[in-house]
Amino acid sequence: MSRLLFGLEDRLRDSDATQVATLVLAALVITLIAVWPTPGSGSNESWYAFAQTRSVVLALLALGFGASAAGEAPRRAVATALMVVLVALLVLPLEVASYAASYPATPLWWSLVSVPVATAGYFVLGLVLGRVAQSLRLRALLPLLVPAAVAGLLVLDIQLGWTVLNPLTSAVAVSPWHLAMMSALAVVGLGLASVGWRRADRRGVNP
Amino acid sequence: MKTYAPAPIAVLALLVIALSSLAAAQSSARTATLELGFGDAVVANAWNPLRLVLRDVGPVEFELSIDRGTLREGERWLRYRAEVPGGSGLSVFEDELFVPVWRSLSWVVRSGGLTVTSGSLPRTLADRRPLDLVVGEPGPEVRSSLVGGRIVDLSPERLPLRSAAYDGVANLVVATPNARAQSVVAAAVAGSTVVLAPASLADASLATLLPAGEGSRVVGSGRVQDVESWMETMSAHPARFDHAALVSALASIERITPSSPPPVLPLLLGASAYALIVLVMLRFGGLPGLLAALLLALTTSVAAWVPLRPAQSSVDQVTDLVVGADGVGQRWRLHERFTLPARTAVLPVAGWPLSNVEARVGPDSVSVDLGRWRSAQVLERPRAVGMPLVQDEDGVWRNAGDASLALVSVRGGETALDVAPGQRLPVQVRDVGPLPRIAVALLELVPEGAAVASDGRSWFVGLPHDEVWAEAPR
Repeated sequence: MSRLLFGLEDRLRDSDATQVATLVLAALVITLIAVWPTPGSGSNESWYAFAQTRSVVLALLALGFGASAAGEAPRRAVATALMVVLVALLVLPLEVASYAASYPATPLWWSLVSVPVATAGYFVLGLVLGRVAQSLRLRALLPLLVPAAVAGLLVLDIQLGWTVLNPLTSAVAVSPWHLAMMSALAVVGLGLASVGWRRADRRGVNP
Repeated sequence: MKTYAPAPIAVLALLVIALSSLAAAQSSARTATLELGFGDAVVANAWNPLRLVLRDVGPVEFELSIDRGTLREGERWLRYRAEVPGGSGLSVFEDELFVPVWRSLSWVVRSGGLTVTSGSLPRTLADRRPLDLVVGEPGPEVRSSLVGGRIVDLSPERLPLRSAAYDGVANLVVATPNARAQSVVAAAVAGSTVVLAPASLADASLATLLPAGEGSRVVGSGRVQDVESWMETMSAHPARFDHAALVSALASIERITPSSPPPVLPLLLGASAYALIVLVMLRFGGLPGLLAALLLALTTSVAAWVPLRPAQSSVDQVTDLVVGADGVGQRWRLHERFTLPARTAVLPVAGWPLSNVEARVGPDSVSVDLGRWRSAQVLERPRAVGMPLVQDEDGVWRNAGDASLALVSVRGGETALDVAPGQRLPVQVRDVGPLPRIAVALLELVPEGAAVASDGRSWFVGLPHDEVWAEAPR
């Protein structure tokens, strides 16, 4: 456990972690202010726009870091995953603020549960994407493949008429199938990390 | 020689025919009859009596469906449903129902999954003209004076007892002593002109409605007159007092207004400060900074929740408008529910939604599907109530109620604040300031000499004794 935390601490010292956390928080603060209602408006719909923006931003972040972590050492990959989930947890106060004022019918627990679980799930999807891109020698195209993957998941869900994989509609309505899918991906990711960690320990790769 | 014995098939056929006849006879005896309006004459945009008569029919579900949509908006269905116990013998279910101008109106009576009866009213029968009810035979002169309306002859026992049923009735001519005084008063309170022909005055209870020497008397928002007085004044009076305009003014002004959203500047400062502190903690705090950032996220969430979360998810408001005179009036109760999350609003009242929304209505509830940050206004079935605002013989208005009236304003006269029970106008005059918007709107709609008052929760419109309603602006 302590190795995990120290690994996360090391990962957070990397410049890309700070840059990404700054970018995400700044983007979501600007989003919150932009969608906040003006004094004359009759209703507060800020949560819907904010939650969807947050969901898409975190999905892009998780997919991107997951894809880049496909070629990393297991310990660093786990630390990267923890960093992404941490950033997702740190945007929750902004989500709570817009939720409280908007008073949507969607329960708050959905945001609190789905944010970390979906972020972990998208990270595992990113790992898969990274491995596939690696095997096809298309890693250079990852900056394009990641947003394309988000768009593809959205199109797939719309075509099939469900809310399982896409981050857009799952952000504002309770979807048990989305939660089940993302939980399953997160569990698979945990399993892969555990196996990879032990193998690396046996080989002495993990310092 | 061949002999023919009675064939078993023939006997069986006879048995089947006999049983079928019996079943047909039983099914014809089990009937359900619906009467909407008076004598099947329905007044559109008014409350109408509804009478369902069941004969030897068990528990039934009665459903009346009204589409009041438009070509532009599409279908807007309102469904009235009632469970009627029924049973052996005759059972009667009575209610009052607001019938809007419809595109489609149909009903069905079901019992045990089977349809007992059904029917519909064509769109061409959606007539807004009020009815003239005639009970007994008043004579050709009176009958020929009933012009402009739709005349329906009724037997005295079919006169409803509740004032809501007379919402679409302009004149009630009573020419028989068998009419119940309660029905006659209910019609007058609702705004109808009740004409008592000489034949009706043989009944003592009806005769007391017109004091000796008086040919006309204001009762509620209508009046009771004898034939002579009615014939003299009918050209000066409109069919009935236009309470719909008053209710419409009340509904448009007395609305729930959602609270203004919190200002954006404190939100911007707070969110920016939070983001900055968290980033500093993550960058320079190491492991303790990471844990502190998570703790800060938790406390900030709670701190943001408390001031931003509205105290209630829905707000209810009830406003009364009582229109009447002489101590009695017709009460129009307006319910409004404002909801923040989308939900189905169920109001436990017999009423009708004012806005053009889809709704499910029953004898004691109204159910409307509301979107986010939306409100629904439901007008409760009108009923007769006591009226605290009374005009004395000398024309002075008096608070005859038990509670103080916060405001009394007479059209063309004085305005007073805090009129105590029993107190007459004018009271000690002090600066009353500008009148509330609703008071101004009501005063514009009432005739000269009428009074508008409020006790803080209800609004009262007192009609003057010698008013000429036709002069009231429409």
